[in-house]
Order: sequence, then C-alpha cells, then structure tokens
Amino acid sequence: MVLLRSLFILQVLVRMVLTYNFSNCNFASITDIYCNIIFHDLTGDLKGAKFAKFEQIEDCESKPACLLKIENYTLNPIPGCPSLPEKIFAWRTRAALIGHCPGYPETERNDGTQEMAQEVQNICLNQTSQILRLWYSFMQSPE
Amino acid sequence: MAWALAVILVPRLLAAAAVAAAAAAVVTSRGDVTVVCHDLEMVEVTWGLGPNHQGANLSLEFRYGTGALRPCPQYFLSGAGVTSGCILPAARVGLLELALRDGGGAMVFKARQRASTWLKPSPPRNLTLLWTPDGDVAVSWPAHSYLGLDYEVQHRENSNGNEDAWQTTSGPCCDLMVGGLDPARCYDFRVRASPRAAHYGLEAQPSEWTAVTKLSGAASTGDPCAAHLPPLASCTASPTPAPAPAPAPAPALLPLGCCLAALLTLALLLAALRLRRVKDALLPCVPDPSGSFPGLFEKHHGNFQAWIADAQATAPPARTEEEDDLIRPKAKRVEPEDGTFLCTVPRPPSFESRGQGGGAMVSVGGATFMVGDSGYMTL
Repeated sequence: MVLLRSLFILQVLVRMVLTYNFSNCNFASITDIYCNIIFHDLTGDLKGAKFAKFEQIEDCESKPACLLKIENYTLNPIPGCPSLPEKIFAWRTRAALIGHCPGYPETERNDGTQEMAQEVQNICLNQTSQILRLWYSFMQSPE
Repeated sequence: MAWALAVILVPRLLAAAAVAAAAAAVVTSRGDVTVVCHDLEMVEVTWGLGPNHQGANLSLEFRYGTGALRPCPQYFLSGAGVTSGCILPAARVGLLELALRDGGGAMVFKARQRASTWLKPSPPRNLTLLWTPDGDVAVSWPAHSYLGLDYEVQHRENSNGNEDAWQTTSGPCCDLMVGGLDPARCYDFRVRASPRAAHYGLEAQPSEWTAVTKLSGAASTGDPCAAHLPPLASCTASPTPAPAPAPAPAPALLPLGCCLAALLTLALLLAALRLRRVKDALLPCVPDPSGSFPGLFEKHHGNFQAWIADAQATAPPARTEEEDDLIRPKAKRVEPEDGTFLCTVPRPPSFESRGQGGGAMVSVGGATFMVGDSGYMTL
C-alpha cells in the first residue's frame, strides 16, 4: 500500500516536471489548424448529441494554459472513453502541437488500463464537449 | 375540529403543490429558458411564459468562477407579477454558473459555461457606403470591441421591399467590397455581425440587421468619372428608417398679409387726403376770424377795444334790409405756402364812400358795386 502510494506520487511529480511549456508555440498556425480542421472533427464527433447539456468543467485564461488543458484532455484516456486519443481530432491535435510547438515530445502515450476499456458513449461525448469548450476559451484568450 | 381543518386544508395544499410542480416542470427543459449575452456586456435570462406557466415565482442565482452564488440583481416581472427573467452583468473570462430554482428551492435549470457561449453582438454602427471608380461599392463600419466575428453585407436593387431579393457577401471586419453593381441604379444595403462558430460555439447567434441604408447611383454623387451616365431618379443615401423630416416652419403669411394690408390702406388714405372733399370730410378747417376783423392784428395788435373804436370811427352806414340780399360768398380754403391749413373768410363787403351816382360803393370779391337809393346794385 505504501509502495503504490509512493509510485503514484512519483508519477505525478514526474508528470509535473515533464509538463511541456506551451508558451513558445506558434499560436497563429495552431489557430488556423483548429479553425479549418480540428473544429470540424470535434463537431462531427458530437453531431446528434445534445451538446448543451454538458456543463463546462474547466476553463483557461491564456493560450498556453488552454493548450495545456486541451492536450491533457485530448491525449489522455479516461475511464469510460479509452478510444479518445485515437479519434481523428486527437491525432490532428497532436500533429499540430508537434509541428508548431518547438520541443513538444513526440513519444507515444501509454494506453489505458483495462479498467478504461469499456466505452461509455456519454462519457466520450462529455469529454469531447469539454475539449471543444477549451478550444473556444483558447480562441478567446490572449497570448 | 382538527379533522375538519385537515379535511379543508389538505386538498388546498395539494392543489397548490400541484400547481407549483407543474410550473416548475415547465421550465425544467432547457427550451423554456433562454440565455442571451448581449455584446459581452450583459446577460439576459428569461424563462417560460406560456400557458403552462402557472404563476410560479422562480429565483435565479449566479456566479463567475468559484465565488459565492449571488442573487439576480434585476428581475423582469410578468403581467401576473411573478419573475419572468433576469439581467446580470457579463464577464469575458471565467465560467458563468446559473441556477434557477422554484419557491421551494428545487432546481429547475442549471448551466455552467462561459458567458460568451450565448453571445449576440450588437448591430454594426455608422455604416459607410462609397462607390469606387471601378463601379464597386466599398462598405465599411467600425469594429466591435472583441474578436471572432464575421460580417454579412446584404444588398438589393432598390425595389419595393422584396425580402427575397437580398444578396449576401460575407467577410471579416471591417470593410467589404461589393461588386457587380450598376452605378446607374439605386441599391439598399444592410449589415449584421455573426459570431464565428469555431470561436464562440454554435449557441451564439448573429446580431440584428442594421437599418437599411439606401445608396444612390454613382452619377448622382457628382463623381466626375460617372458624368457620362444618365441622371437618376431621386434615391438619397441616408440611414433609414430615418425619421420623417420635420416640416419646415410655415411662413408667417398671416402677419405679413396684415402688414401689407395696413400699409396699403395707409397709402390709399394718404393719397385720398390730397382730394379736397376727403380733406374737408376728415379734416374740417378751423376758421380763422382774422379776416372778419381787418386790421385787428396788423394795426391794433389784437386789441379788440382799440379796433372797435377805430371801426366805429370809420363805420359805414347802418345796414338796410336790401343789404340782406347781397350775395355773400362762402368761406373758401386758402392753402398758404407753408402747407398749413387755414380757413380765411373773405373780407366782408366794405362800404366805401359814395360814388358819383350818390349811392354807396360796395366791394365784394374784387368787384365794386354801387348801391342806388332804390337798393339796386350796379357795377
């Protein structure tokens, strides 16, 4: 029990140290990619869903802070939606970050655990909704 | 007694609860509650007023971020006196949390998003239209205070309000060029701002259209390049609906007419006064008695006593009855050179010394008569 706890704390610390600083990204290029490609992927994924029923959980007030949260929500699987990082909008988000954020790591992320394998559509829709609203905050925030 | 009260009150309580529940149930669905963020300055929340609204008085609380919930600062009231909406300030950052509850505290509506999610911009202002030498129309307007808006410019040939004739050109702020127009014709223009979906989401809505602005053809603007074009019918470029021009103040015809009539009357009167008859009627002469008393003023300086004594010394014989038949001329007006009006009575006939015939000599009006013993006058 103590070992698991230590491993968890170590994982959090490592993640904090290895968190990328998005301040040096080319926000204009990322904005173009989002407006022309990623936005349509996200809305396509939410098509038919009652988008408005999902309340926004998190917000951000600057472009670097928004990209940090977008990257976290998009590229990390969550219980009930293990396929999220494999969706087309996630691939294109990752490609935009790699291409326009100098030094962004290209290493693959770990797959979800077995507990995350079961797909729950509502959870995926909610997560996609959160990602889209973070992109809205990104567009409205200063650099 | 208690049973009686229970029998009376319980049904009433149940009925009231049913009404409240029905009213609350009406607004549970999001379709009954509308949220609009006007120009990122103010948020308006309104809830259902349909026939199912049974008079429930709902209360709204809100907050930005993680602060404490605050009550609605300003409610709208329906005709029944219950709340029907709320106005609260908008913030450009932070998540807006809305909580609408009924009188019993039950949640009937809840939302948590950026206020910009429900953005509705204000219409563009100060629209400017300008013909270019190429025959296009440059449309420009001032920018909003925030980004993420596209603008739609619609134009149509100056027809009779045909809504289907509008043609749309879209673009970013804050000017657009509309081509393919005929500089010899008149056109209607209007513009509205539309939030970009990728910027604010799909719940944001476009602004209202600006008032229709009419643009006259290039020839009527004095453009030297369009001087060869035929003249246009009246089509002024003005932001409509402009208020009807205030009627020009009616000329003061009545006072002017009265003045002219008075002046004319005065002129006619002055002209008429030159006629003798009018003068006599309007300005009767003031008789001057000095003619009746010759020498009164010249010799005796107005001393009537001295004049009488002198007159008696030279008095003519007593008048006979025949002298009453003498023709005495009427007093006639004599106009002296200085323009004053004097009435001089001709000198009374003077009885001079007897003539050769023995009769008395009488001078009347420059003629001299001799009165004989028989009383007849001979010249």
